[in-house]
Amino acid sequence: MTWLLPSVVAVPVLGAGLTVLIGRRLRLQRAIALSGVAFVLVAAVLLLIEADSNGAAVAQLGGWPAPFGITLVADRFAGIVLTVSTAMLIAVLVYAMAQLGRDALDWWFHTKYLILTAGVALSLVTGDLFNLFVGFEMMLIASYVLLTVKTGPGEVRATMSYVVINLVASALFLVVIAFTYTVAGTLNLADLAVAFQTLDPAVRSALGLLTLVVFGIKAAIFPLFMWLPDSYPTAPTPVTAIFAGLLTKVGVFVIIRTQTLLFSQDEPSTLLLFIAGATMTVGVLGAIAQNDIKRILSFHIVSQIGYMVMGLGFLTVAGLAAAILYITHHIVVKTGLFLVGGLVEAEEGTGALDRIGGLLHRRPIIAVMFLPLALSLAGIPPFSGFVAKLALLQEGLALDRGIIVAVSLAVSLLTLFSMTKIWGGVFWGETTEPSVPAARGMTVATGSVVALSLGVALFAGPLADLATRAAADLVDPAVYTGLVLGGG
Amino acid sequence: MAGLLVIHIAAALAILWWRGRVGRRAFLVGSVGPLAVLVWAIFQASGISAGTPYVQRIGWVPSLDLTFDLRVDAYSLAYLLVIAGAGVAIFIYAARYFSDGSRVPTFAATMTIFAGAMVGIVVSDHLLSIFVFWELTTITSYLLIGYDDHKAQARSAALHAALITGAGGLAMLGGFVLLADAAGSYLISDIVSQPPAASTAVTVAWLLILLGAVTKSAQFPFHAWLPGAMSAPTPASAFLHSATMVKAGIFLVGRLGATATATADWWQPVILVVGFITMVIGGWRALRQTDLKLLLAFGTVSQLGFLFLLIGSGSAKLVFGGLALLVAHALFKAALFMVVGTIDHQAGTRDIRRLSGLRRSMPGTFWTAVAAAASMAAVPLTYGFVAKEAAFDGLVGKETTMIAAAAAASILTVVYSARFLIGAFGPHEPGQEPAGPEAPVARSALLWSPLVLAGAGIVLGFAPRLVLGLVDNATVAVTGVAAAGKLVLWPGLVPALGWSALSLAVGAVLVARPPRVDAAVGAVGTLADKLPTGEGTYRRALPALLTFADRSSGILQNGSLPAYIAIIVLVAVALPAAAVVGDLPPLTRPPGGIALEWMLGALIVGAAISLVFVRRRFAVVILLGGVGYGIAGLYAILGGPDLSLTQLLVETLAIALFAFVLRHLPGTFNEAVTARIPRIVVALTVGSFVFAGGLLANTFRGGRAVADSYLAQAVPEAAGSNVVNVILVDFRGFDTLGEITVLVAATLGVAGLAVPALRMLRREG
Repeated sequence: MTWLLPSVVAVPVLGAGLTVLIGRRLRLQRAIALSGVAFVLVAAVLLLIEADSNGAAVAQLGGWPAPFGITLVADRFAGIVLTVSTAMLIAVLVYAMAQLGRDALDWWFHTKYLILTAGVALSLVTGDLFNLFVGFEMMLIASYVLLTVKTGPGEVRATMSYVVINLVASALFLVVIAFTYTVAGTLNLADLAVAFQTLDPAVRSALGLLTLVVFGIKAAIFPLFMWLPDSYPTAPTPVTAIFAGLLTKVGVFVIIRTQTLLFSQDEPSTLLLFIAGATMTVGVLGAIAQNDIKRILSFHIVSQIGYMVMGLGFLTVAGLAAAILYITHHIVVKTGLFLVGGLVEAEEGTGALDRIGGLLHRRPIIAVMFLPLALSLAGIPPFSGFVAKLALLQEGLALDRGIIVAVSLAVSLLTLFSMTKIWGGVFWGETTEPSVPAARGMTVATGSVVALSLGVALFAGPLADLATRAAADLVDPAVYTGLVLGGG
Repeated sequence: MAGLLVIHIAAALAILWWRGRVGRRAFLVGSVGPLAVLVWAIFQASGISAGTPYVQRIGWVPSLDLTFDLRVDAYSLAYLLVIAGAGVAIFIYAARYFSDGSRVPTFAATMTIFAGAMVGIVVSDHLLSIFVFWELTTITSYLLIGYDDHKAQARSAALHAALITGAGGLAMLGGFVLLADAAGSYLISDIVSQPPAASTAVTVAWLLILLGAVTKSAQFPFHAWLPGAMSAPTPASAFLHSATMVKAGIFLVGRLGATATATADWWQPVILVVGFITMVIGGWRALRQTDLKLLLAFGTVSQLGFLFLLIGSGSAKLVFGGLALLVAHALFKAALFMVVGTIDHQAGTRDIRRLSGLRRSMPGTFWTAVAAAASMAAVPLTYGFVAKEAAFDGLVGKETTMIAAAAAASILTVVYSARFLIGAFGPHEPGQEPAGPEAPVARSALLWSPLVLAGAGIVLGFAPRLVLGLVDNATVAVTGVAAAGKLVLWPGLVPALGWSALSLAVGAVLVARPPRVDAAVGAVGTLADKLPTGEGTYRRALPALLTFADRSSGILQNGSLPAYIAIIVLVAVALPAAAVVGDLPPLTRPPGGIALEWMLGALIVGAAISLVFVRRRFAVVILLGGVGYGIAGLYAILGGPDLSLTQLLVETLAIALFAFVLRHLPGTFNEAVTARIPRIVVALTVGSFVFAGGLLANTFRGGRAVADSYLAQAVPEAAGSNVVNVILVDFRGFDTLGEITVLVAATLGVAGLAVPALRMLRREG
């Protein structure tokens, strides 16, 4: 199975190259893009199965044994996130194709999309700190250029803050890499984990905090989140949807990976829990102050990140399992909500709550798709968000962390409130004049994401078990180092 | 049992599937749910009453202890019969109440889902599965209240109900988890048989659970959402907001009351005080309503208060009275709501100041209302009287103030029952435009459904034995002891009868003198309106929250990129610095330091510092170049000639590009250097941090295993003599693949921006 591992990056890169070479043949471009992402999905599923039976799929690239070459590692955690991410990549791709239709103003959309796919995949499976930087750069450069798909000067200006902040983050990332290499003499994550065990605790924790800041910018945690709600809502829907669903979650993934593998602690981290609470709160307050679907949803990205950090902050198997479950649920739900928001925008020509109304009666199908996703976001049963939130709640109370639990419940209520704001504004109210139904493919793609989110809820039992196994690997860094360096 | 829940879902889906054709018959499809429950409950009744609960478990997420454990004992059975009985009557009624319309099927489907969820609550033994169904009722209630969604009032009432009950629900969830943690099980049957030891966590758990019950059952100070919920179409009000959903909280405190009383001595007093306040406030407010439906709604609040304190008390005699009253309330209140619906349907208004002559034009409905209102007022010969006697009987022997308060509320009940009857069926007020039915009531469910329920309230008065077993067994199921209570039409000369008689007599006197009552009510009411209420708090809190959210996110999210960057880099400095400060060992200076290095260092630092003080753009570019060339020089000295070369090329190219761009920009920056001071401080802080960090990292420099191995293996293993090249294309070739991809994407991005811009220029020029 190890040969599959590099292909999750190599195949989309190859596809990207092909789409450039074949020029303006739209159908062929689409076929390449779809099959490229589909390949990654199949590979991701196979890798997850492999990881779940053997602990992880590990590939030492070029045959250079760790830590000399670059190691790719798909453990359970990476397998889960990669699988659900690529499923979303496919759904959004279908949605984008339907939305763009034959209007192919941007000929290289598919190229950029494949590069984004490769970047996400690489960031998830790499076992090397510098290679992670490369994965992030691929992801980011693709996101920079995707943000400017079909845009005018106004959007370019909004993109500026995204680009500049991410460049700052990249610079800080390089500083982290430089410091790390200096103290450890290696960049392989497993090797670093071993090296850091004997490092001065103060220096180790300083390095851990700097790493947290670097990836915290990508994950949009408090107080590093401000760029996100400013830049996401202006982009075209498919782009926003995939960014919202995946990019910040890759940040969270890496935070979890590095904090558990390199900077592991035995006790719940009060700092992380504080960040979690603050992130939830500022995000949801921002959301209820907005009056536009995409802006509300964008603030919720921030708010929801807080819940994932909360799970990490417990630093226990159950806490991490909850975080993994949360990420899985959230990637699907958030992507779906943005697709629904995009459908509304496409049909009504606006996302402003006060300019739409009565959609429930004109387009019940959109309402039916919105409802489970919105309730899931707020953690209302029987949807997937409830299961994830319950897991956090149980662990929080078991660890006597009542404050963060109380905050998380209050934020749930405010989340519900902001969802009723959308429901009351868009789906209820005086009917505005009839609009143009969106392309069928967009509805189908959105519907399949909704179905997947219901699936996450329905199969929450086995998923929770899988997440627990994944979390058990994370809590004990020796598992990872053993798999990568051999010998355990 | 689970099959019954599936039937509800299937019925709802069937309605949605055929929503184009089904029309108002959707309610008949939906009635299959409650009907099935009713039939099931009747067939299971004897076995369950004999003490063998029906048990079933359905797994969901076992690792989180999240399963659906269903357990139907006699207590559940009582609620099941109420829900299903009222449900069947109301669904059939609704099928005549509505006209065919495109929104009706969705409404019917939502109500069917609600009915299923309500059944789910009362048959769940698992705390979490109660919560799941509980929230489902909150959501469906939100959707049902907002049926007339073009009315802003309906939308805000729906929101009010959802937020209050939602908040309570979430608090309750926290309480459930705490309770289960302490008790070691989520199963109520386990918790009841082995109560957790008293502790702070358990106290908090009980408080949170109580919060859930209090909000759901519209108890003071959260009761205001219930009258607002009357924006819902009448069948929904009858079903959700009188017969079933609002009893969920009562169901819960009844289930846990005995255990709570045993582990927390404050439970019973709190329940009693909350219940009494709710009871009196609700009764009082009912007297001031002119809308029949609101009158009933406040009456419901009052009755819920009574039920809450009786059933939640955990004491067998009170629970017995409470359950007897619960059945009575479902019968008369659902009937009265349907009566109001019929009046509204026929006369087009429910304003008691306008309704006129309905007694003659709607005789069937009138007699239904009389029967139901009599039961509500606990007039002898009705089941309402029998039940209230049982309740009073339970209270006798407790503190006299409690009985007195209950009697006061009973007096209010008598008065508002009369007000309902006179208002609906008496003459209209002078000066108001009279309203009456446009057509006689058809002999349909509009007539029959309320009549059957109201009639049952009379029949049971004469045959209370029909419910005695049910109420008795249910009491035993939650309190563990038999109440030895009685349900009889003539209890003999006992104190309870005295209280009943007193209430009726005072009530009758007050009814006989309506103007004086109205005046007194008006005077006290004006005063009472000035007291703070839950409603006022909610009305003020919501805008305050929105303003706060708006302001706080306005401050954080001010749109200033420099501010964002400053925050980010300062956090990046502060967090790690805080971790090492105080623990710092003496820093080791790195080896080397030949004169040329110092000179280049001085050049770089000097250029960088000068950068911030110059105002001409071109000078900035030159100084930036100076920094870059200085670094290239350092690379050369440190043994990286190829790196140095690359750096030189990049710098040169960058300066050339800058020069091109600068032609289109003003020659100088407009701002004064002093305006840059904050940014200079930030930059210096970050710069010093990285410098100090570099020194610190150097102090803790570890082994060079990887680098040494690269040097050792480059020639023999990778057959390359330039180790940098070998690293780039072999050892770490995958990095290079990625970087090349980045370059391609960047090129495409630039092209994507440039091509439209060029096209635009060409079009213009």
